[in-house]
Amino acid sequence: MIQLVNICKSFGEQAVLKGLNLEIPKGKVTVVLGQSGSGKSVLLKHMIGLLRPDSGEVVVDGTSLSTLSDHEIVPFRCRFGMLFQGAALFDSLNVFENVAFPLKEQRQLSSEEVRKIVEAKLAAVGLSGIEEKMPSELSGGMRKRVGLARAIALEPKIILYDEPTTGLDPIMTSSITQLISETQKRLKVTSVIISHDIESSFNIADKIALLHEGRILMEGSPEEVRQSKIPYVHNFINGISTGSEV
Amino acid sequence: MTRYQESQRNIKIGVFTLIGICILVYSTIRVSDRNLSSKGTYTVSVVLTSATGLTRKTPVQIAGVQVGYIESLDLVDNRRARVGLRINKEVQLTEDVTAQVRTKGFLGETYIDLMPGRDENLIKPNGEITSVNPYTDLSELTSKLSAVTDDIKVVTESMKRNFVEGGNWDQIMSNFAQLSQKLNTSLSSVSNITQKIDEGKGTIGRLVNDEETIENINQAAKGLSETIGGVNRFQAEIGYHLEYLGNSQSVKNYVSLGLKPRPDKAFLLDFVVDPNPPDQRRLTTTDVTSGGVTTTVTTDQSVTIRNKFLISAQLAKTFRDVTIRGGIIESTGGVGVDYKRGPYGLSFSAFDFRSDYGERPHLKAFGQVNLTKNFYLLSGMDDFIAKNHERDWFVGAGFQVIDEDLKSLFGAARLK
Amino acid sequence: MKRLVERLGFWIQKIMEEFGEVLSFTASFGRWLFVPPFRWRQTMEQMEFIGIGSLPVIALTGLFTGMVFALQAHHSFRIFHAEALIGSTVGLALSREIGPVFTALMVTARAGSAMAAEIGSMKVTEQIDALESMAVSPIHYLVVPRVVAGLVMVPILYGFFLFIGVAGAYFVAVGLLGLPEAPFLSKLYYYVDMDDVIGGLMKSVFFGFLLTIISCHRGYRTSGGAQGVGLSTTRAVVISSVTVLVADYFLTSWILEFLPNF
Ligand SMILES: Nc1ncnc2c1ncn2[C@@H]1O[C@H](COP(=O)(O)OP(=O)(O)OP(=O)(O)O)[C@@H](O)[C@H]1O
Ligand SMILES: [Mg+2]
Repeated sequence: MIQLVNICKSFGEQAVLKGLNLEIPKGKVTVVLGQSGSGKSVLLKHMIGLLRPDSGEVVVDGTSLSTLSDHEIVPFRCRFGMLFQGAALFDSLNVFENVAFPLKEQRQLSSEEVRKIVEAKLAAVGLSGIEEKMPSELSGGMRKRVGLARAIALEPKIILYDEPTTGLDPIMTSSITQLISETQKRLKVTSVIISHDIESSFNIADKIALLHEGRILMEGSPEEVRQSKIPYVHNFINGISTGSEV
Repeated sequence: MTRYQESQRNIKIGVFTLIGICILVYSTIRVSDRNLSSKGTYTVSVVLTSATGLTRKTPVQIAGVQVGYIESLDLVDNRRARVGLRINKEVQLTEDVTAQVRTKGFLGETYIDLMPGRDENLIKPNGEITSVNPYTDLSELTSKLSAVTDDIKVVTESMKRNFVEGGNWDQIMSNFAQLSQKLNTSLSSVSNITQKIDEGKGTIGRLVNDEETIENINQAAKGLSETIGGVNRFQAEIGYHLEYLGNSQSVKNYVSLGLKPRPDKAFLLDFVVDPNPPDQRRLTTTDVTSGGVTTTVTTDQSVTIRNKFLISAQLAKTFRDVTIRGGIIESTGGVGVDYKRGPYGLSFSAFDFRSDYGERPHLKAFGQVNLTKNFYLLSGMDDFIAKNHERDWFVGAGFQVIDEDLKSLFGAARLK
Repeated sequence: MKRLVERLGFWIQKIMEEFGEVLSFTASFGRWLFVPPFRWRQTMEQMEFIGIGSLPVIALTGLFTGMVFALQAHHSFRIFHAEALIGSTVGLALSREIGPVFTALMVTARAGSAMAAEIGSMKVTEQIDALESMAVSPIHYLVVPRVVAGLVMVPILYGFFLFIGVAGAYFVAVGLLGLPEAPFLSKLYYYVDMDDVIGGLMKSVFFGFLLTIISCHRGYRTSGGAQGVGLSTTRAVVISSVTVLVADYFLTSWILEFLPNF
């Protein structure tokens, strides 16, 4: 379980999170929605301690991240897997080494076992046979899927996905959504997904939170959110522009 | 990267590193080997009246063949130089060996010449060479000549006395004997030198190279300029330092200029930018007339000026380790005292004695450590008995250059 | 005057800030240095890059520095008929000052800038974040191998520089100017001392450390896209070079203090 209590975060003059409260239930899928630039990626980085809040607290399974030093927080991240919005593949390593990286770093596995896991994960994201390619030789969507394979390679307890399906074709989108949902069910992982894909979000989410103006405007089950009377929530999930968002 | 490529790379690195280490070891061994002897060396020492021009590694020769080098130079009895020589073990020195400092070449390269004697007994390792030939140079010659003139004076004086008073003839004779003997040695020195000059054997080079001579010339020139120009050794110091004030979290900057007409007297000028000076109280009285009644209203204002520019100008006098100074400190009257010993210094200043509103004097105390001749760190307390201003601590760092440093800074860029 | 004092104070504050940041960066480097496992593969990669990669440029600069030094020394020593001292002059200058400083400057320009650029672009493309998200410390994975490689390789490059530089001087003095070989070598061996080479080695170890840690730090602090990476690279080179030159002064004064024959 991840609890975010009263998180404030500014970059210089710009306040991105303004006293945000959110609870991520254990073993469930939580989808965070919000407009572009509303601070979703920033929020996700707070959960894993890549960013530290100006004030407020992040508690992961009972441990407050603010009590950990920069030095101690590193091993703490073993329980996380994270897919970055820009995939963040290591461009000095090829696809195989990228996916194998967390396995080699955190597990004592024989190279045969590593090879098996990597091949299985790449197959799961539909990318068999590109092990020797370098990240610069891949398309954006392929990179994202390699990033996804890397994030789930270790089968961690908590997986954070930053826009896993953005930039994928409809067939690939649904198969990736499938993969996320399967992984979650099979391993009972806690998943946090940032997504712009309302429809598939509602399909797989146990909980939906809508980020707006630095706070969680609305949270609840997909049904509750769908029924919401708050005008902004209604407009957001139905894609209605009032002309004042931009 | 495959296993194979990786092992190739590691081999490359291994070879590279090995060659590098070999080169380093070779160079160090090559240069540390003085090419003296395979059998080892031993040391002897010799005491000289002057080791001018001698340095470590200066060669030691017998009959023009190098047999060792100078290893150490120390002072004995606070007056003479003990020179440690490291000598090749194959070369055996007798007890009556004579040492002499000589020069060769136009540049006056110095070396120690050993002249073996006829004795059977050999000097033991760590022994001492007792027989030293005097080193003749111009300064010695002049001192001898002046002794001669002194003797002449004595002789003529006693002659005068004796002829007039009909005194002791023996006395005169003995004086004469003494004089002629001294003249002899002096003349031999003169011939020695002229001979060397004739042979072109480095005496000019030595004069050019001799630090003592240069020092003497400088001294003379300095004295001369002192008497002519009146500008005696006037030393200037330029410095900068900053103090980071802990409580007010601000930085105070100082640019300072010190002029020292004499080593124990100084005029100190500082320009200070104080980001957070104590408040200034200002009383204004105004007469207010209302309803025919005039009342005097006094307003009491407290004014804080940020980044105030202040000036200090002080005269200082040094007694041994203690310097007392006074004058204007940070644009108010003040006095201070500094204590300096080795690289450490303590300073105390009291200024701003205005007490119109029960303020107390501004006191400042700090310690200072000189890291090098030019760089120092300081730390202390500021305004620590103030009533209406919180006391503050500070740490700081600064540098100062004296005009000699400036000269060498702008002068020919020396290597090292 | 006041403006000047303030400007100076501002700059000094800036320098102090950078200095403090590098210090705390060094502290976290120290903390991760001994955390197992030691990353041999990355360290070897960096050793190859810094050491073998810099060898050609070090050899060239060393060769020509030695040669031009010999030429200049000959030009002035001829006046005093002291041509025999060319070898020792070049040897002393290269071993004590020019060797360590030039080696450090060349490695800064070649490898320091590359380190800042590489780490900087990893920073702006979130690869550093990705490392951290996989419970790998970027200091451990990126900085420690580079600094260790610098510590080991810069002194070795100094050895090459020294050797090639003196060889260049020998070539000019004996080969081109036709001076006798024996005095050149004997004076060289005579006046250059073991302590000179050891002092130079100590300096290069320090410089290797300084330039790698500063370059890594600059890369690590990169923000803002390709332009930020460019800025970091430039600043890494400038700050490292200036630091090397300033540190050289202090190191020289300390080495003079502790090595009796330096
Ligand atoms: N490292 C940073 N430095 C400065 N500003 C930042 C930084 N990271 C994010 N921001 C700012 O924070 C705001 C939120 O950014 P964030 O990346 O969280 O948006 P987002 O909700 O993920 O948008 P999108 O859906 O487009 O990815 C943006 O306005 C951005 O300018
Ligand atoms: Mg985002």
